[in-house]
Amino acid sequence: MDFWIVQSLNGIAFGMLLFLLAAGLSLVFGLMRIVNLTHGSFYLLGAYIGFTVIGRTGSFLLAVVVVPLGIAALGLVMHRFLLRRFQGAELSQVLLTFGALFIFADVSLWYWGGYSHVLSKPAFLAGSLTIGTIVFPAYRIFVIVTGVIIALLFWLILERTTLGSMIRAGVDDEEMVRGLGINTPRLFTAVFALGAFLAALSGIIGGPLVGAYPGADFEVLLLALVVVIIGGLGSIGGAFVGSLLVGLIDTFGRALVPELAMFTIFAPMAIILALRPRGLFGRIR
Amino acid sequence: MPKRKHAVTLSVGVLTILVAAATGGMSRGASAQAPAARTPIKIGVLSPLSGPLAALARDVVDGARLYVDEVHGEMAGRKVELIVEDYEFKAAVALTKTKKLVERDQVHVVVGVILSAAVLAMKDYIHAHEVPFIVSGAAVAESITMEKPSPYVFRTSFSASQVPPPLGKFVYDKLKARTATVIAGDTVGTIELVMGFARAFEEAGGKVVQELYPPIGTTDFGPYIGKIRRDVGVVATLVPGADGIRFIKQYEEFGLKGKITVVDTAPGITDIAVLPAAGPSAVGMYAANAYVHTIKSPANEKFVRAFRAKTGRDPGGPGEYTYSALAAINQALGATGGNIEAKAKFLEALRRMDLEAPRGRIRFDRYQHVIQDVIITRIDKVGDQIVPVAVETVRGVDQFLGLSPEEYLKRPRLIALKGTFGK
Amino acid sequence: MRRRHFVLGIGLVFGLIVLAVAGRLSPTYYTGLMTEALILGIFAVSLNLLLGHTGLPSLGHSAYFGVAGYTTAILSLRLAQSSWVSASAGIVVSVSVAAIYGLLALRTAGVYFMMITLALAQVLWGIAFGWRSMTGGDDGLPGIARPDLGALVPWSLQSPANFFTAVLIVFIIVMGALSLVVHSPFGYALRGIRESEARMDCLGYHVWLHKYVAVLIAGGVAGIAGILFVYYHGFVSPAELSLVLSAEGLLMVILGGAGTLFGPVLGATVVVFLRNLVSGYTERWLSVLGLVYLLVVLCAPNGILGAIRGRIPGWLSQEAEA
Repeated sequence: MDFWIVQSLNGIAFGMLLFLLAAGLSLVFGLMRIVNLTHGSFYLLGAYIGFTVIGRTGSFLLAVVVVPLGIAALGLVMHRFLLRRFQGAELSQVLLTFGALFIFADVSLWYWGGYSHVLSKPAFLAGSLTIGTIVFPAYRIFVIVTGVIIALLFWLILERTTLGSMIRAGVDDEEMVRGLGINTPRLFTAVFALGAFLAALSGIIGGPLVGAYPGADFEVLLLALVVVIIGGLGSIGGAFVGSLLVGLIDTFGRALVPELAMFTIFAPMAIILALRPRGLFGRIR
Repeated sequence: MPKRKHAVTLSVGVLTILVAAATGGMSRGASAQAPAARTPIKIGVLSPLSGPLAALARDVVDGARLYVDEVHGEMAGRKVELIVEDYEFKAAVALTKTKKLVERDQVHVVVGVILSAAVLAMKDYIHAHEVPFIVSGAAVAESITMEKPSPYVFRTSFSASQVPPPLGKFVYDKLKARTATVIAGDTVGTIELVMGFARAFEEAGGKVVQELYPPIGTTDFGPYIGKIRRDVGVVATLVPGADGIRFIKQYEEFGLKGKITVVDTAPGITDIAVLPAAGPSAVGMYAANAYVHTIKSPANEKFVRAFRAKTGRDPGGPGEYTYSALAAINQALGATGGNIEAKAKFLEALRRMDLEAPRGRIRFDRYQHVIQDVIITRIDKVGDQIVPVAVETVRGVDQFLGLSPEEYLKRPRLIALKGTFGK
Repeated sequence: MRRRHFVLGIGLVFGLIVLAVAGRLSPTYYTGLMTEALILGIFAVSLNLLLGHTGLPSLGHSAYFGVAGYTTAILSLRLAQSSWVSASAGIVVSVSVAAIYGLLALRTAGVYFMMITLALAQVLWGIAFGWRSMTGGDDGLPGIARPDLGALVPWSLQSPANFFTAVLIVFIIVMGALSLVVHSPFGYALRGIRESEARMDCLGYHVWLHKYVAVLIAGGVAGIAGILFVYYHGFVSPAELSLVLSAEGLLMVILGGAGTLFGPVLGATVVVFLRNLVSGYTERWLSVLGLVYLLVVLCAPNGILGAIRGRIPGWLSQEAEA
């Protein structure tokens, strides 16, 4: 019984981390149709810079607040000056974000070296919780809680604010939104920056678990892609459900049939692609 | 119509020009080897400087550089040049970089490499191009110096068949463990290490009840730790480098530290290059080593002092193995009068290596793998340092564990044992 | 017209002779690079059939490259089959995968097509990575021997010069065949589809079938490249199925000039030489490569050949108009 509880919690924690990773990508794709391959780089930069900030100041809180804002600014600049003029030219954007991925990866390699860095947790979260016979790391509980809070925040923003309705409308019908007089280029840049913010945030939150290392950008990107395809492009709710699904399938897959470790992530994706290409909650515009 | 034809001709022309430029650019490259005495000896150092084992990779390069410094950049009267390449802990990249080292940089000998899979990918090429190669990072798969042995491939690190077995016996005899779970990164080198342990443990009387193989690069060990049977006597591991750090930390977070002892079947987490990052979580672990920086001997103390002075850290295994590899090259060059180009003589001299290395006296066996002592350590907190403390030393272990090669080779290969325990 | 053909023919033959000679006389390192450029050139040309000629932006083209390579490797290593059997099986498998993937991917268009092709290639990557007992996982499969031509000709493919010559011959055959395809009514139909599917549909063309056949041909040719690649290196790993390789294919196509015949080969040559030579001079070659991606999109969306020729309907410039 313990086994099932522990693994379920593991799966949910991993799922919430995936949600933080994938939400930004889903939004950017849903609204702007940009296959943003730099998404993983935003994660990596967030994690590395967070590592340096925590190393120098000892403050996890500072990192969580400051670093995502910095990366959001980077995303803003990148979209405004590089990507925006290629709106609609999707292949160009893919290649541009891919080039950016290489450059960010190399800069990270140059500055932080080839090492794997695991971020330090804040002291009060470093311990374990013991409930009966189950010992579970406190930090993973924190990740679960954070994921749920961010999901709720998203829901609030999307459903209850003007910005949210603009985004939802844009995902549905971008031309119409432009016709209504809304400055779509600026909206897009803002959402792109938001995506970068979330990716960097997941870098700090996920940092103590996943860490920052060469190649993390690719791995994170692929994971986010899987979630977005399963959950549906452009749907935050889909990203939430998709990430929980992937988190649980992957965790139980590794625990029960470890020979299929990588396959358990890609198999659901393949099935969705074969049966319902738009994903569980996605809409094809 | 006409424009397209022109374009085709033009593009072929451009292609040709590119090719000609490339050809012209290197036509001055060495076709025949220049006379021995003047040209520098080029040693290629291949190390996974980016990736999960970067900390150990650094030691490989520093070990080589330290030796070159100590001989003032010269071996047998010729200048020595180190060419360092990063293979990113990927077998495919190792092969590409090897080709570059051999064909473009024209190195005389290659040292380094930690990933067994990389050596296996390189082996055919190295053999076909007749390049002496001293495996000196780790790359412990037994097949490297056992199956289809190549006269060009030597190893100064250790073998999966050599270092873990004494630990298997120790764990049964001294730690009194009767059952074990093995967990290793899912690549041939680390798998063989825990298999070497498992076989020895069962031969001593124990029983291996579980095998777990998280892929290299796993960051979340939760699913695997959750699977470890709570009634098992010991967990035998080779989760390498950065993966290992995460593993041992998460092991503690899930409450298993202190409840079930963890033993490192070789220096994965417990290598001094990695140990500081693992920190207090690693205290209480045991490990089997071919080298520890705390060995008490004049040669080792001198080596450790020099390494510390140069890099500010203590040397881990790969540092010593590579340092010894360079020493072996120097010794062989001394015997051949510096003539590394006379390959057969150089290889013959290398085979007769007899060194007082920091870890002790080392020689090659008939299959060009090093014979050495195995040191079993426990990780203790001494003051505010986390250090390995030697608890037992097994002298003169070879890769065939005392059997004749023919007899040993009759047994199933270690990699074939994967998945056969716990049934 | 006939004189132009004559001049063109002479130019082509001359160029190929120079190439063949250069390949045999160069130091092995450069022969190796040229071999790799030709192999990846074939890969890029097959992708060009999809992207440049039909307007299908595949982000998962490495799937066919890698699956053919793995099939050849597994058959010759684990099932001890002869090279001819292994290589033929490799092509059969890559076309079969193309047949399945084509059915799945062609249900979508544009960005969705990109995502699906990427995802489908990742599925194969995941299998290669995870199915250790069959594929060796991340360790890959070493020790793949080159075909033994013994019966046919007394040359060994072991020497870099001979292998280069063999690859060059295959390259010429493949380019010749593709040239026929591209200049045939089928090829024209593809380009028509690229311009406007609706129009072609009105004209009575079976659009889906044309696209599907293009996928099959592209898959098969990519498979040929994959097999050559595996024989060249003697080693196969999940990298042959990766997103990096697919994206590099796209870069080669666009850099050289999408929609042309030789453009992708040019692009492949530039990328291969750049990657290998630049890394000899600076450790920051990854940034250089990234910059190349950026510069191609920003400054030369028609590619090298496109710039030489004046405006051609390349995929990128086409998009920007939409």
